[in-house]
Amino acid sequence: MEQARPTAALKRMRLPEQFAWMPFVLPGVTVAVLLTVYPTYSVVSASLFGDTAKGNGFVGLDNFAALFRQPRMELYLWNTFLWVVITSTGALVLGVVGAFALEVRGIGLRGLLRSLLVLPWIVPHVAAAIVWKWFYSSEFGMLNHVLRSIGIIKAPLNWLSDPVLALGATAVLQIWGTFPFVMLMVSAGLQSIDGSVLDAARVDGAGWFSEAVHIILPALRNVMFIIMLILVVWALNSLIAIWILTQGGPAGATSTMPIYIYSAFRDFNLSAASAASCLLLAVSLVFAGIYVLRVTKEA
Amino acid sequence: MARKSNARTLTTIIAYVILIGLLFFALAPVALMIGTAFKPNVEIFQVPPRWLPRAPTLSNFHTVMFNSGIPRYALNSVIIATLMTFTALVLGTMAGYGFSRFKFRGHRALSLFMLLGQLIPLIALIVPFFQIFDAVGLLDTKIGIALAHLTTALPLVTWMSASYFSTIPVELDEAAIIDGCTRMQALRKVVLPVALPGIISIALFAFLMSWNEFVLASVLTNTDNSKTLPIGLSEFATMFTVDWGSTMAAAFLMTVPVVAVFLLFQKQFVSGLSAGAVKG
Repeated sequence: MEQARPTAALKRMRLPEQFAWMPFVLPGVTVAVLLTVYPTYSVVSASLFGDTAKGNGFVGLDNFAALFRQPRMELYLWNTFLWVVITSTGALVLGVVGAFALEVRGIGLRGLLRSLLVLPWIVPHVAAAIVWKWFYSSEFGMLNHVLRSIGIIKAPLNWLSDPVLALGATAVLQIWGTFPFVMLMVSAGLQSIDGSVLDAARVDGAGWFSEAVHIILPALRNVMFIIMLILVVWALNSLIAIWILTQGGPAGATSTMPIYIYSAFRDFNLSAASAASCLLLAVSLVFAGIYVLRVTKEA
Repeated sequence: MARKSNARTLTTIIAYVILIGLLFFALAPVALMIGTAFKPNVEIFQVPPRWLPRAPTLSNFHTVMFNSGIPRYALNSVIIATLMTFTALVLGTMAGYGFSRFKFRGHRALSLFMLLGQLIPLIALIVPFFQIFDAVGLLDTKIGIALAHLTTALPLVTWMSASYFSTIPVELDEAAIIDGCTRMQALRKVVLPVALPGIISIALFAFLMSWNEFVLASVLTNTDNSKTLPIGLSEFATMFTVDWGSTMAAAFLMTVPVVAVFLLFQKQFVSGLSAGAVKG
């Protein structure tokens, strides 16, 4: 008995098969276009308009020129760069170290340890930022107390109001919230390495170092690259950590581009906010674009 | 042989030292939040500070529940997140099914676009969102915030469900179609029930995304009518004199359901994460 081929039944359906995907895919895609493409178009065009002699009108690139004439713009751009580099590197290092430590043979309670280490990533960002603000408090804060009682510092530090410390202090919060993500992804990557390859290498007398260099690192290269891109995009657009802790202060020491955009928006300076948004959007989309192409390459 | 087992012991010790250090880093703020939430006011500003309260009290929770806007904001958050999750699931699973079952012109372009949507920088879109929502009268409404939260949740649901559906054999749909189902019925009656465990974790992802979202909600809300929990909490903590006990109690209340959900669905969360967000 020969079974009817499924395609025969498919052909009997009302819509020709070549259009059959449309009722499934198009509603979602249309909503997504309205929510992303239209606002993007709108912010780009808003950045080209502003106050002219005849009221609101087309001003070309004047808003961008004005943006770079801001006395502190250089500092804000530098802060953004520094913040992205520090938080991404920090989260990557801690996450990788944590994932490797969890995979060492003979570690007990691995599941419990992993669940506990993932907690910072789970805590809602606003709640986390508020807790860290209290943790950093110079007078009553637990951090100063702990560091003094183990002799690392002598006098309490003003973590959030000292211009030298503040940017690092906000970066630590971002690292705290994102390193568990790296740890989970690297763990998954490590577990997908073929055990028999490692065994074969050991039989051939490979030490842990050559094992790491020749087998583990190449296997993780792709996932690490992808993680790095995600961390950079998150860091570039992160507002809450800095906004709750310092609101960009003291004296702009922790002001990054997202803080600048948010403050400009709150001051109803929509032209400046739009121009800065376009800048941030362009830079973010470069990293996000590489991520998208990289992730879908194998699929 | 002895040298080898020594090396192994050393590795284990180093691993434990690293893990204990990380554990302290990860949990110290959480412990401080819990400890402070249960402290009476007199203990909160004691120097030196202690991790645990001497005389634990529920008075901070009482303040949060009966003398603050937090319960109202929590209710708003639940309504908004539920509405948003439901919409994202309907549109996103349909699109995900389409991407996983059909080959068509533009497949790659559209799926890349949806993936890109997950990483769209919301902070760079606050100006247009404010202007558009103002123009159409959606400012400070629950529907407005739910719609805004679809921006990242819809692409997320689409991608996660597409990768989940692609693990389900196509023969299942084909059998249903031969039995007289339309494509849409095949999805609804046959594929979705099979995919239910995955769909639940995807729904939780979307819900939590809305529950935690700060940037858009802070720009699009301004009264009790639509303010969400993250906004209420941030106002609590940026007042001129912060009531740290109540603030920590509120943060604790916001965190507990999230952690509970995570612990219950940890396995699906982690596999969903590696399937949907990062493949390879």
